[in-house]
Amino acid sequence: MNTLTELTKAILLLTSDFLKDKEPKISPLNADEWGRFSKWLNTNSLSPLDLLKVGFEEKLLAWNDAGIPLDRIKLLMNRGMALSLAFEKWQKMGIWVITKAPEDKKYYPKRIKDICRHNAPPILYGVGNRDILNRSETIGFLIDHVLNDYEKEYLKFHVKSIGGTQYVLAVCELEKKNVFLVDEALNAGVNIIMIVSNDLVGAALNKKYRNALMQNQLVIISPYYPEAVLNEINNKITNSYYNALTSLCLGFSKYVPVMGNIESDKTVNVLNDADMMEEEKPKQGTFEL
Amino acid sequence: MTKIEGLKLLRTAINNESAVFHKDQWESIDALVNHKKKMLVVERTGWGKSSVYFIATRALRDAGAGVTIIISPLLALMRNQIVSAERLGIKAVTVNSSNVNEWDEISKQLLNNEIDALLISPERLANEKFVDNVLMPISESIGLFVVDEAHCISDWGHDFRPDYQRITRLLKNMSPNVPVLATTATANDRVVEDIEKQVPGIETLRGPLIRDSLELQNIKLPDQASRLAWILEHISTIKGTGIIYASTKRDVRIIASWLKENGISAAPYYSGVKHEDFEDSNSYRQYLEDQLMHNEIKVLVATTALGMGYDKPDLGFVIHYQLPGSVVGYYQQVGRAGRGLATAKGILLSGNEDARIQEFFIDAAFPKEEHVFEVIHALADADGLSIRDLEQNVNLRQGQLEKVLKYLSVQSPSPVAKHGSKWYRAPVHYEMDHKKIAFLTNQRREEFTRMEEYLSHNKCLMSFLRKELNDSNISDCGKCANCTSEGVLDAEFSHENGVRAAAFLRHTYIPIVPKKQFAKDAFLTYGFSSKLPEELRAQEGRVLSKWGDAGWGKLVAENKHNNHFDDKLVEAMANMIQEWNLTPSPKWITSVPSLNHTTLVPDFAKRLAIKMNLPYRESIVKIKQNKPQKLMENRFHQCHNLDGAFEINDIITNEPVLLVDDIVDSGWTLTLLSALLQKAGTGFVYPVALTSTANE
Repeated sequence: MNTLTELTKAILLLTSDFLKDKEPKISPLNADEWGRFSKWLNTNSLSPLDLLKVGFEEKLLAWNDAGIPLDRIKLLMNRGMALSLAFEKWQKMGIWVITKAPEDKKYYPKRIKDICRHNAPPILYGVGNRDILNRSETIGFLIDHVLNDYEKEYLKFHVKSIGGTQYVLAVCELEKKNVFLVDEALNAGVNIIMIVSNDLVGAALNKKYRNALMQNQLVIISPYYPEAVLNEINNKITNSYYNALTSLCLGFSKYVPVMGNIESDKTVNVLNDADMMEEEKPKQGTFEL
Repeated sequence: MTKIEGLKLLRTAINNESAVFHKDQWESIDALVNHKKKMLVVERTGWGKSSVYFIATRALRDAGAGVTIIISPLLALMRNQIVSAERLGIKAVTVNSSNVNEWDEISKQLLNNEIDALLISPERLANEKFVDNVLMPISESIGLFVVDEAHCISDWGHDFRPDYQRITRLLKNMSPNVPVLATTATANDRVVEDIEKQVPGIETLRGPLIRDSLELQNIKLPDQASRLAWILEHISTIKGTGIIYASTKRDVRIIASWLKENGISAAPYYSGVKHEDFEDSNSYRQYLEDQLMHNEIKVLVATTALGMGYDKPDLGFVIHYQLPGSVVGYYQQVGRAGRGLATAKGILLSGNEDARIQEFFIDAAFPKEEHVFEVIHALADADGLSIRDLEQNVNLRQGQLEKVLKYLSVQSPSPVAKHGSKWYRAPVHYEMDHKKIAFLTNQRREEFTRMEEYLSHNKCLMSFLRKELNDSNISDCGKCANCTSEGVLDAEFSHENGVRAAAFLRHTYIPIVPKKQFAKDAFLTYGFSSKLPEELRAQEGRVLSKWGDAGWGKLVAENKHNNHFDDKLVEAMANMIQEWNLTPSPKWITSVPSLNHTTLVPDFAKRLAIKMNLPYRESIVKIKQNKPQKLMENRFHQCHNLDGAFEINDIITNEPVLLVDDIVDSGWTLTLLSALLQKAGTGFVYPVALTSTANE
């Protein structure tokens, strides 16, 4: 499970960071750039594997993209030793990688691929049970305010009720308000997909998650390299992947309760208990998904 | 690069205008430089492996490639190679534990692309700090990756090393567009096949491995005194300088001091060997390697720490004091001799202790399962532990703990991970690979059996070795002791030298080096902090023997079992103390009490006091039954187990005292009692013991 195919190596060379602090910086292709480049390769009957061969430059003579000059590709492909050292380090922490390529179809979340299309991350780094990444139904919570104890208890009840259903709880680590849900879900034996935007290494080694990771209850994924530090843009993008990953979303609003299916924008009330509502009731659709 | 350009570089590298490539040399260079291939090159020492990787480095650097990384296990090799690299204008540097203060500067030069080749040991590659601070920053543009002594990659290799497992994993993870050169002079077919299986895409070039100039002879001399006598008598008759290999550090020291005492310039060499004139062990080892290199010393007496890669063309002889673990390992060592000479000698001595020593090495090769899980469980209960934290949480010796962590961290997947300065339980399931351990253990036993067969072989010895190495076109050498009627050297020695050697073995004392620090928070009852004040430290002490050794160790072991130490031991210890010439001299004797064997040590110490004409005082009282100290495995537990166990009574004097015990292992009991005695008002404390069970 924890080995690299030659194709994964080629994609990692093109799209992954390997160093924590580095000078001079060779920027790997971001999701958008990778989308353009891989499409071109495909159109020209080439595979990233061809870039591992001596003299691959000649096959890229027709490639013309000001943002991705050939020299950048050459420098990226030259990082074979860095790839090896970095992956060896991640391997030791139980971290694996999966790519958007067909060979990882079984694991790469179909919803992210389908919804984000060419913006979907070329690589997902992860730890834990990757078999749950492609379960058909994932449920997420959107919470827009600090919950009081009563509300928390109520939500915990919902999380517990996921146990034994076909749903997997999806959690974005960036949503700190949701973190208590993870604790509850871990205790209730609910399967969890957690997406993080930085420090996958820290999450992989965290004692809190260790048992769940080892018992196949939890998978933690990141679209960014495992030692990445916190970064606003990455957070935003990660949030969009989280939204794509979630097939059903329970909104928990101080204003209006909704239960929505992201694609069809259907909403379902989960909180119809009037005395849990506060203040005025704004119109539906408050949440930008 | 064309072959003509390559040839020009070769001639510059070896400073010879008419030089031509050895068979397969150009083919290797071409594959690396022009086709970025992964190559396994199996060629004998002296074939010119370093020319291959330095010429390839020159060509790749000229074409704009990044630095070459060379992984090599021996310091001597590194320094020799740096000189030959300079002829090609290659700036090669080495990073090791002896130049930590230069790492920053080297790192800067590497980042500025001012260095062409970086030579490091496999152990260095396993050092997180080095990888993060030096290697990672330059890893995005490595031109060539070289692994010397690549047979260590293979499970079938005679020299299985955990650090090489990491190299294997690096090679597996590496993309196929990084040129890799793996070299070895000792790989048979099985090892080659295994490396080819483990490193996908690697191609092999192989030449003959054997050395024609070697004259081999095997001599069985069961006891150590006979071997010491034989070596002394014959070493001066062998032309040139050489190496004597022994299996343990203690034997290395004994042989070297025996030879020195008899006027032969010899020095002991092993990992951690120290000398007061040198800053650290590495710099002293380099000095010793140079001494032999320039024939300024007749013989280096060494463990296998001096083995791989030591490349001295005019090495005249290699003598083995004990049987090594395998035939291929033996060939690697004996094959160091005679590379540039018409004749050289390879003498294998063997004794009664050989099998026992090898069984110890085989048994100690892997950590015990209970130790492994003790560490895993401690890590599972915590959110990251430093080594010091771990020591407090597990009852394992520092060495055992390091062995467990090293073993676990090269497993795939590894159940432990180091992040920053702490170790964590990685979130993967783990079971010990008993099948593989059994396989490797069994294989080592088989290898030793083959070694014993070589020892008793009555036909051509060189042919036996060649067959083991799967060399082709084997015929009798006509030079070994079995091919010639008169033998290589006379197997006899004089009775007089035998008697002297036996006496010498009875005077091979072991020092007890005073400790300066206790484990933190281990002596709360006594109120000792971790730093031990100078006035409470013991003086350097002495031990009469090593448990079960050929000197007094055997008698001590027997006597201990019978609960009475013989008067011969009283006399031997009195002699040891008299020869020691202590100033100020001890004025009285006391001993370490025990609640289990109440009379054994005090009775011995009383007889010693009578023999030495000194008063004996029972000044130390055991007031608490603690667990046997031998069950305590690490510093913290060894100290903590002694906390509050002893009291000093008032029958002491302020004069220097001899503190007597029977067995010393970690030495904490003697350290604590020396501190308690001096705190109570005695003079200097000189610890002495009959035997040491500390492992080496």
